[in-house]
Amino acid sequence: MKKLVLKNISKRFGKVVAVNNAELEIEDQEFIVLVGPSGCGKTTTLRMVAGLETVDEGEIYINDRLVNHLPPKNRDIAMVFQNYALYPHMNVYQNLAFGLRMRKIPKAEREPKVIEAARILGIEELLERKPRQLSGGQRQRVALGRAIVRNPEVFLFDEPLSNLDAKLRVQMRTELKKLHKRLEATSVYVTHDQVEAMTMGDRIIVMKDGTIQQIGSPSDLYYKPQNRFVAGFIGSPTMNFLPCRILEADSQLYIETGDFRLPLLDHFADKVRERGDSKFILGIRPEDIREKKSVQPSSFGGSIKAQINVTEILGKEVFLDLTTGENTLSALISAEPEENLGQEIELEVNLARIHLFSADNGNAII
Amino acid sequence: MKYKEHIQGLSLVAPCLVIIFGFIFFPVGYSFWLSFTNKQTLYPDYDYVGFGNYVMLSGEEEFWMSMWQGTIFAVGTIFFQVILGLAAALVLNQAFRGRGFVRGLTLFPYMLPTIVTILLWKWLLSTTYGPINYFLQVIGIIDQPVVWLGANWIMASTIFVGVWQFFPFVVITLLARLQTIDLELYEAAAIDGANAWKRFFFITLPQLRFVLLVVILLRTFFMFTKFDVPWLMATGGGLQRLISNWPVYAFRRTFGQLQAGEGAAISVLLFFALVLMTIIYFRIYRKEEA
Amino acid sequence: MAKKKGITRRDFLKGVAGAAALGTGATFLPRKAHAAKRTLRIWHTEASAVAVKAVQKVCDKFEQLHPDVKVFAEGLGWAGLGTKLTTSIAAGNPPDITHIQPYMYRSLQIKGELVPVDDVYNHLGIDNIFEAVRDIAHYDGKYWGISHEVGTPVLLIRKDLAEKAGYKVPKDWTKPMFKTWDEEIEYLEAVTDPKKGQWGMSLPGTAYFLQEHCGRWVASNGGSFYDEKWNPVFDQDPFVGVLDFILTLSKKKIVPPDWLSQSWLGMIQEICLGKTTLIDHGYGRIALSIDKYAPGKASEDYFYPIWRPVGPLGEKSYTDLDAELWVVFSKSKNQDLAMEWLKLFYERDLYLNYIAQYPVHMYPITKSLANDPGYKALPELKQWKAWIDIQAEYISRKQALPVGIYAPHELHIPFVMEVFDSGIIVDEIVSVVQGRRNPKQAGQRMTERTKELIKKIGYPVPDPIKAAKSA
Ligand SMILES: Nc1ncnc2c1ncn2[C@@H]1O[C@H](COP(=O)(O)OP(=O)(O)OP(=O)(O)O)[C@@H](O)[C@H]1O
Ligand SMILES: [Mg+2]
Repeated sequence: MKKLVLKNISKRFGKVVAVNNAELEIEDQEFIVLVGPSGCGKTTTLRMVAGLETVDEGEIYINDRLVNHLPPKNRDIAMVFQNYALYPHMNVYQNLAFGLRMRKIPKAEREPKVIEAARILGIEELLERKPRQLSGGQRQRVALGRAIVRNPEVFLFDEPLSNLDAKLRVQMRTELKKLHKRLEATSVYVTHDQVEAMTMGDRIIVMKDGTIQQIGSPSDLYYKPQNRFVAGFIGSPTMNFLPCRILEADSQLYIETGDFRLPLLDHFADKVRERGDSKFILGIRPEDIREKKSVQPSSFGGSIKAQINVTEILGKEVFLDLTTGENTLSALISAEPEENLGQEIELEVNLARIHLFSADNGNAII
Repeated sequence: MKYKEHIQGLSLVAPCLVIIFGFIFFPVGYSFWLSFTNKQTLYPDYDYVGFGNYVMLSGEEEFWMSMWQGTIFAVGTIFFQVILGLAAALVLNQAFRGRGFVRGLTLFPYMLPTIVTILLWKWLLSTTYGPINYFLQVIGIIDQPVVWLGANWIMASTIFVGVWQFFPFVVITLLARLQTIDLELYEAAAIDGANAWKRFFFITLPQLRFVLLVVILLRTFFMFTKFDVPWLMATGGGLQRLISNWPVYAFRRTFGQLQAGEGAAISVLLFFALVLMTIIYFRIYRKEEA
Repeated sequence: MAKKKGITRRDFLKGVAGAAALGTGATFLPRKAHAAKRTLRIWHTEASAVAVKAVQKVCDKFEQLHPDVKVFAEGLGWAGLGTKLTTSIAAGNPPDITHIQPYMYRSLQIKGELVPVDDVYNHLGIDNIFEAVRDIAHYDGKYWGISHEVGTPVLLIRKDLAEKAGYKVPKDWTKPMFKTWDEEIEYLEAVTDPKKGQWGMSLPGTAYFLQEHCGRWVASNGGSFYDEKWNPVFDQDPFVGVLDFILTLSKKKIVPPDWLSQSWLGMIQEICLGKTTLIDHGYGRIALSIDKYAPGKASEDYFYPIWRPVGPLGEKSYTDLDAELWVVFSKSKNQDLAMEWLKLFYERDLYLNYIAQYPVHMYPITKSLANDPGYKALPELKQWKAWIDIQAEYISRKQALPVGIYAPHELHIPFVMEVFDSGIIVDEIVSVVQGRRNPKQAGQRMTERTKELIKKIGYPVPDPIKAAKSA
């Protein structure tokens, strides 16, 4: 049984198409992350599921039940808002209990549920406090508590961590994942932070301008982005994109950028030949570039001569900002190069990990 | 050094103290004093009469009528102002076409000078040529014109006019607060299972609570001390007796019968009544808050 | 009782009376013009645009003659002026000149607020002034105010509506259409038809005008407000009869049901629009409203004056003498200018211009202007001939008494103003109409409350000025 199904749903605000023909199926207990740049329609999608926004076209099913016309309270979902939306005039206990109270759960049954939720989240001490007497992280927990206390079919999160500082965010990320494991609740989690998406999602949905670009596991998105947008969105530092042509010499295909040339591995060649055209966009992740002098045998190959503009030592790795003729390039290498700024360095590329995108529509070819 | 600072500080607040003393304490104190004298409005001299004015007033039918009517007028206008103001504020807080215009229109009664308001309503409510009676007759609700401005209805009509004129005050204040309520609270409550009525009861009302309390307290001061509306509804004429509140009665004593001492006594009683109401009010407020 | 001041009220009264008398002489000495501009403040009751213009014309002329003086004139309706006046006097800042009603002058005079205007009378020539108005404010050998005009309210009927109901309105207004209140009531019942929205008579609910009605009715019922010894007599038969009359009008529903809150203008509109057939308040000023609210009906075919009936205890019917007084305040620093302004006011051209604003309402106080061809040529005198003649008749028969004064001796009572403005009379009228008290009880309560008020003011005592003199 699918827990949550969106069938071709669309939503327009005047001329803006906030969500365009989105299709989605979510399994029971799955943790799905909706990611995309600001304004791409993540929140709108979530709100349609919650019933806070009407659906212009398409159908939404929860547990195989069409919910398009059900009010939020009858959809058995819980939502955690970006700004928490805690009831300011109620204390933490009352905030947690409110949903149960509205559902006419008797007082005696309410209390153990509230206490249990508070215990899970470690906020038992705070039950008497008003939201304004809590820190950001504590409020976040109360907001989560309000969602879990009702034990709903689906959890909806709208950027719940975006108001926390970086460290707390990382910590909460893990806690949320643990919580999910423990509650085994189906969750839809919205974020515009791809790191959050990659670390948390069982599956990730990438959206852009209201349209779903790709749905897949984190590794799918990383290794097999279906288009240039997804490739650029996922991964940090961002993938290098260079316009290129395909040349053939001695029945070997080469990728020619104007500044350098890379041989195309055989198992990619067929796909390229099939296309017939010769103009493409080459995609190379910075971590797939290394210094030529490395000796370990591998799928690395080709030769790129580039000038070093900037070096940034990130810890274990070193980030390089480079210029090769017309193009700039970023690379992530394992040790600080001997060459100085402004000097030339020779690099090679993991040929098995390169990406080629159609220059016309950005779709992935290899 | 310290002493110098004191002097400096004092000289900074001195003008304020003078103003506060001159404009607030002096008139209040002077009224107190006058209320213990038989001062007549147009004579400079007077005798001390102790509680004579108070004793005399307490035995007078007109005094008790004014106390009673003043209370009915104030409580009636405050009650309906708040109800109507709250309802209007809730409606005006919704998004609809022409909302800006309707908001502006709602403020209109508050902008009108009282005299214009009264003339307008006296005309609208008139038995002989008032459009309201005409309209009610045409749609068949009544078959005889209602004497809105006659002895039986004059208090109700005066309350009505008071409500009409001052409910925008309630609307403005409540609307200002309503607009700051986070809409997500309503969405959260909707998801939590609250219907529209419960959302109003559990979210809107508690959020408005403090502003409402302040509004009611302010309106209490305003409506108990309101002079122009009940005065102009009867302009000292036949029906004044039936809509005479404390200020009107004090005015008639002071400037009609020229008995300033008695007028002052009524003002002092009103002052104490308001102080008392404020104390009770805050008691209740604090008790609830705890 | 602790004395808070060195002088008692009684001492004060004596003192100011003397001082005012002394001060009068002094003020007429010519003063040197101030280097700075002097200002003269004038309030008057003629608030309509035309009248304000006419007064302004006098002011303009005055400024021309006295370039160092600035005159501010303000027209206020009677309801506004009364209050404003009391508060300004209480604050010690009255205008230099104002209109007051005749019933107020003694109350103000005894408090030392006024100075005599004999100078103006002498300037106009005492004999040139009609006797009816000349003596209104004559007290203690001095003139404490001077009327700006004379007029009297008459019973004004909608002739067309009465005739439609089968009644004949006598052309000769000396022959009363109703001899008694009973006849009047009979007529009112006959013409009242609430379904058509037509009532017999309209009454004003405003305290001032309602009391005026009571006054002329009590006089027409052989009584007054006070007896010769200044005792209030609201509990005696003539006044109780008036309360009875009001109760009957109200009970029989022959006056509009909301009459208690009716304004003066509202009442005028009712007769102009034919909502009512009769008003007992036919001031000539209404002629102006008729043009406005009953266009095309401004003639004696529609609006006709009739002689007022007498009450069951009366022999003659009375009316009010509408003759507001110009008075000058003793606190004025410009008494000299004030006298000059008043003299200018009565100058032939300016005064004619003023009177011509409402000739039906305003009869000149000077015989010279009354006989002036310019005055006689005013077209309204023909248009509303009966209306003007009947007023003159009331005056010449001495059946017109100054507003608020319902027997000649009341002109000298020094607390008429306080009682008139106290609300006591209307309060009790309402309790009668409401059925809370019967007329007799209400009259008694009125009398008691009035006595109490009088006592607080410091009476009944013999006139303190006379007492001071004889002592
Ligand atoms: N109530 C609304 N009225 C009009 N336009 C809206 C409304 N809500 C959203 N939109 C528009 O719809 C589009 C999608 O908005 P949405 O809030 O879903 O984006 P988002 O992906 O959640 O962005 P963010 O990451 O900034 O929260 C945007 O262009 C937005 O301006
Ligand atoms: Mg969003």
